[in-house]
Amino acid sequence: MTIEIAAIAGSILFVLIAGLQSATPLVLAAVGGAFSAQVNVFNLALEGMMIAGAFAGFAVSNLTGNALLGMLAGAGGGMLVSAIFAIATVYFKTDEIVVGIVINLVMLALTGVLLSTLFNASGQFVSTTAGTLPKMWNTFDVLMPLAFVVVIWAHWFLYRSRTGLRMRAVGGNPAATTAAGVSVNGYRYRALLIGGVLAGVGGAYLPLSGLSMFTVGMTAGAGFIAVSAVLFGDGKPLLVGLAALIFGIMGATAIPIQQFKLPSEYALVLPYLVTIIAVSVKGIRDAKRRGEELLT
Amino acid sequence: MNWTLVSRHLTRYSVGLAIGGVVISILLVAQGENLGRFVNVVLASSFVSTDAVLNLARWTAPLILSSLAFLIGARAGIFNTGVEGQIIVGACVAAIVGSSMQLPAIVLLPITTAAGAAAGMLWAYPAAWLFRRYRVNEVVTTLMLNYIAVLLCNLVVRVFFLAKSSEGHESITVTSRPIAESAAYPVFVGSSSASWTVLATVLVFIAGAIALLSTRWGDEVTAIGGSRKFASYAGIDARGVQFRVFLLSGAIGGLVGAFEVQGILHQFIDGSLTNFGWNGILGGLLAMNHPVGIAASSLFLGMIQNSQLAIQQFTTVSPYMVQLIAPLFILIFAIDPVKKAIQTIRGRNDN
Repeated sequence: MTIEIAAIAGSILFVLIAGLQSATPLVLAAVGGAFSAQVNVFNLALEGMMIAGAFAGFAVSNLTGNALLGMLAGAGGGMLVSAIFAIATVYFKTDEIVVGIVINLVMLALTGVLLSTLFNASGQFVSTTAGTLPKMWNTFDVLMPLAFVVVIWAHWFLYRSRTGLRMRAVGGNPAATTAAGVSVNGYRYRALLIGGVLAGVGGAYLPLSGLSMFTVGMTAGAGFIAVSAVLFGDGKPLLVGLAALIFGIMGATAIPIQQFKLPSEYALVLPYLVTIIAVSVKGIRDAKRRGEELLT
Repeated sequence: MNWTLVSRHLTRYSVGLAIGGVVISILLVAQGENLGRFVNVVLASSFVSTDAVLNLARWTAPLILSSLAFLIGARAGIFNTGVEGQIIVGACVAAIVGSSMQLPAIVLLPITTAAGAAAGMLWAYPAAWLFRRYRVNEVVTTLMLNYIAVLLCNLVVRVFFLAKSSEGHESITVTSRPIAESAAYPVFVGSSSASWTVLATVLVFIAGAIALLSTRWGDEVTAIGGSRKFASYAGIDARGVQFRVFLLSGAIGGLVGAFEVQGILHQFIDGSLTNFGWNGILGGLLAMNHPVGIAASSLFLGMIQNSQLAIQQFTTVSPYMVQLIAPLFILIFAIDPVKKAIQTIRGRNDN
């Protein structure tokens, strides 16, 4: 009996840790997306920022053997992509959805091209020199608590700091903000770049948190799930972070489900399914609250 | 003919090609290849022989249809990012239907095609319904449905319809049992991969273009895409039309999958249709929302797809280069730097 309880407690703990591991990149990217939402830009390019961060982080830590330097490079990679996205949407005023989708396609293919050019590998590459992230009590790596800190910092920043409040003003009423003498585009750039940094770090976490392996398309929709978390939480960092945490933990339930000898697809489909349900429920609630006449 | 507009569009395409070409050549040089040779390989694989041209048609046909699937939605103000998933589900269901019945071709051929189209429509249904009833963001729902489609089709095929070799071995990639011979569209000529689905595609495309450009329904769709509110004021049932267009878009996606299975693959193979939907979205964007533009944009994208094998054989560049070229051009094209430049110059003159 006691052995069973210990076993169950053990597997719960295991799922929790695995859940945190799969939620960490989502939380980081989603909070990044929350910044875009606050300046009223629909940031579909999170997926592209994540894969760029993943590749940059992987390449640098493979070169230096330092996973933390890799994280830094990931931030840079994500920021670079967000700069392209920001210039396209803010300066050139291109459609946000179009740019987002096309940037994602470019980055997925570009990381594939770079992988074959720099590593002479097709599809995937396992690094033997990339270091690992420092861990606390041998279980939680440093990015897990950092993700929590980032959520709280983002909340404080957007609701308390001068810059953050201006960002929210830009998102809420750009015309009035301009009239008040605040550069609307300037704050849009800043918010989008912060988003890119966070999504890039989230992306870099993917290859560096476990197997030290980069796979083309390894984000597998994580950026889109983060976008859904942003929608679900209305761009409010605390809610967005919570939604991303739940979506991420869903991904980890794959491990115990596989013990029941069910096909892996049942578990793999969960994060996408939960995401689509969450976004729909949220959309339905919003529609009811608006009380919009449902015929037009 | 509005010649200023035409020249504006031509500049837009040329600038996209020029800037994209510079970026591509840098990437090519980094991989020990040069632009001229690369372009030669790409062109040769589509135009060097009759078979090459037929193979070009083989790759252009699914692009025409998937571009049409996206574009019909886009004309009505719907961003259907789920074409990818609708194609995969269509292919999966067509493969299942085509392999589980032994009927004469005159019956089985249309049934299999219709089943694929219906499956694509059904896959778009949840997103379409949520969009119609509650205006739930269709981009996010259709994106999620793409990932679910891949997993679900793999699951269904692996559990119920997995192909086995004569010794009873199962293949490593998830592959369904081959469809009946009477469910397959025959190829034009023995040595190429273009089948009669190409002709069917052209017919569907012409019908779609006519419907969009010169029918009352097409005008309604365009009006809704311009402004849903004004269309409603004008007495158009905007939500209803959008809903049906969404389903139609899904059905055309399913048709792409069915045609691929019935004309080329003859079975469902996991991963074989990856990016078909995304390329369709690129084709639709490149056509600037105009049905006739699809013919040109699909030919361009089809040429790149068609050169995939030749690029692997005759050049040293990464196989992912094929996937990179089209979105890179289209990114620059979409950003449209010329428009901004013109606006800036005009703005300066006004002051």
